[in-house]
Amino acid sequence: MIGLRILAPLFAVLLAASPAAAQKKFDNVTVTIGIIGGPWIDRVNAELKDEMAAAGITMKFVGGTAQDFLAKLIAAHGQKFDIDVVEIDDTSYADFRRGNFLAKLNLADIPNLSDLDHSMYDDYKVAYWASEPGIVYNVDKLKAAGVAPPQHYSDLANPALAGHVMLSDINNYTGYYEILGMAYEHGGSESNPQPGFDLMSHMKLQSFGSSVATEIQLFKTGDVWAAAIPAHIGVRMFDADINVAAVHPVIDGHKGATAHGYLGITQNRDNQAAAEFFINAIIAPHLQERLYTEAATIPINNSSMAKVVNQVRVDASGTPFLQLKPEVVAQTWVPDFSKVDKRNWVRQWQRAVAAQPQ
Amino acid sequence: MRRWRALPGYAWVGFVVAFIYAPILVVIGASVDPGYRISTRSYLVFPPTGFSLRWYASIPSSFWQSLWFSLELAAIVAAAALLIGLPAAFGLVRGRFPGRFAVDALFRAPLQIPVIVTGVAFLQSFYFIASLGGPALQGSLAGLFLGHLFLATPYTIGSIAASLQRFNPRLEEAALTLGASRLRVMWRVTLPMVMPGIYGGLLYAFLVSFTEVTISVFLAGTSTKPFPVMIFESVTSDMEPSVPALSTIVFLGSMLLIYAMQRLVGMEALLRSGGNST
Repeated sequence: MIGLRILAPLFAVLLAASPAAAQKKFDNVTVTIGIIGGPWIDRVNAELKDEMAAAGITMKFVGGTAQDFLAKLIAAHGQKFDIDVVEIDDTSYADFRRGNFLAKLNLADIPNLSDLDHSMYDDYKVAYWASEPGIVYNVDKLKAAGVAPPQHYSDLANPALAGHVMLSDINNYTGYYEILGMAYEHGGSESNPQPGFDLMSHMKLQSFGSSVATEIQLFKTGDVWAAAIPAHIGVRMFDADINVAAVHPVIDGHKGATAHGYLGITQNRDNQAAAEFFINAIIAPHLQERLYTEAATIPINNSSMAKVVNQVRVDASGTPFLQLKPEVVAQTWVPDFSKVDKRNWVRQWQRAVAAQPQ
Repeated sequence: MRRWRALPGYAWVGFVVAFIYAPILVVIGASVDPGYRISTRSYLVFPPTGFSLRWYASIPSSFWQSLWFSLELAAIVAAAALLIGLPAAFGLVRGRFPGRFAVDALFRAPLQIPVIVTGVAFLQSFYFIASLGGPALQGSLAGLFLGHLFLATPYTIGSIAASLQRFNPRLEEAALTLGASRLRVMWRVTLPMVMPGIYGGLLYAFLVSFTEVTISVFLAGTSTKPFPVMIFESVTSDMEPSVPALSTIVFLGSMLLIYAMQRLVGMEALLRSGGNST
């Protein structure tokens, strides 16, 4: 009898620590996640489905960009929003905060944050992927045309490349980097992007990229020879048998730039704890390494970076596509988006597009 | 000699047909390319480097669900657009009431508003209704139905009104003179004569709904995602390799539908869209 008294609490403790108990962490909670659509959602779903199901969470996905979710949140006008976790990027974060659309996170409930630098998260957002906006060019096409590989954003204005250059659309976060890159190279800055727009208005562009699929297709067909796009897309092009290389232009004294994709939780959630559980899972090292392998996005946690730095992908000449060494990444350029007047930028962008030579 | 004279005409028609169908041929060709492993094949290959049906076999079930959902939605929208469009067209063509032109303009207004503005306006309205304690229409079938109906109805009205305008009212007068009741005239004379316009309106409404992306992006939910939105999402980041395969199936299905309509209704009657054609 005494033995039973001793053993009963022990059994209770063991039961609480068992996988079956872990399944009861959430009671069949659904988390609706708004992230970049298509195969990206498929990847995230495939990697996390079992883990979330074991914790009692059902994931539902809505595809879209940070700008899409911001537009929907503005339309919702403070009413309860039907997406719990939303994609955010560097260019839209200030707007998300200004609209008071994001809930304050319980950072203690996201233990994997201990593996992230403090610059990767704050009370309202957590980074879950990173990229390195720069230039990707077709080695064979440039060689055949006798054009030296671009080193600066302004090199994309080379007349020999006319009609074969793609810039990212301004609705895409990369669009801000290319304009800022060209602006800095001509004495401009975040608060004075005009030199960038001036240069853009004189460039004869092939198109404005807004989707990875289109960018890869246009490189594959040979219509585009060089583009201002993130370097990790160069890796995917290389995997698709396109002989490309990546350049990380120097901006404001920094070699290369870094951009982040973040996740935030929208206001007034009943399931915030489950949403935070999801965020914690997606920044786990093993998942970040899988996303690097599958999509070539750069991990955001230190332990994953330490691993993938030894698996760096190189182009045909052996030059790495990505800058992965922590000390190098730490020196990359991150724009100060608080100085960017987005409304004015969009107007200037439209003027520059209208002024393009035919 | 006459045949030779017609040759440039045939050549021109052939060129136009080839021009229209060339992109579809690229999609069909790309759908049977063996391709690379899924994670890296991010572009269309044309001409195909081989022949394989692997992408047809690997179409995700979510795409089929989405396709079926879109077909159902488009059918409901087409039926509802007809219910609204038929009496509206009669009223606008036959009615003699003050402000008829203003009402006509009002019915055509959905075509003059940028679709993206319509999408945002609907979403805002739905949230507003929900805030007043009404049903949550955002992300629901009902919400998508209302958005699509707003866009599709003007096409249905236009198609039926065109039939009515060409319809000779003396045929109705003749039937009335011969003793038929108004209801009988409507059922036995008027409706059969404007039937091509009705079929045309149904087809337009169905196609407007089935191919609509812009409004749907705002109004779709996790379990109510129309097929075009699914396709749009799947090519926004990387290319989902089974998209060309599914697109080919949809294209062939559309051809089958048009063939069936030709057999059942007669496309020439539908295209003429005039009451005197039957």
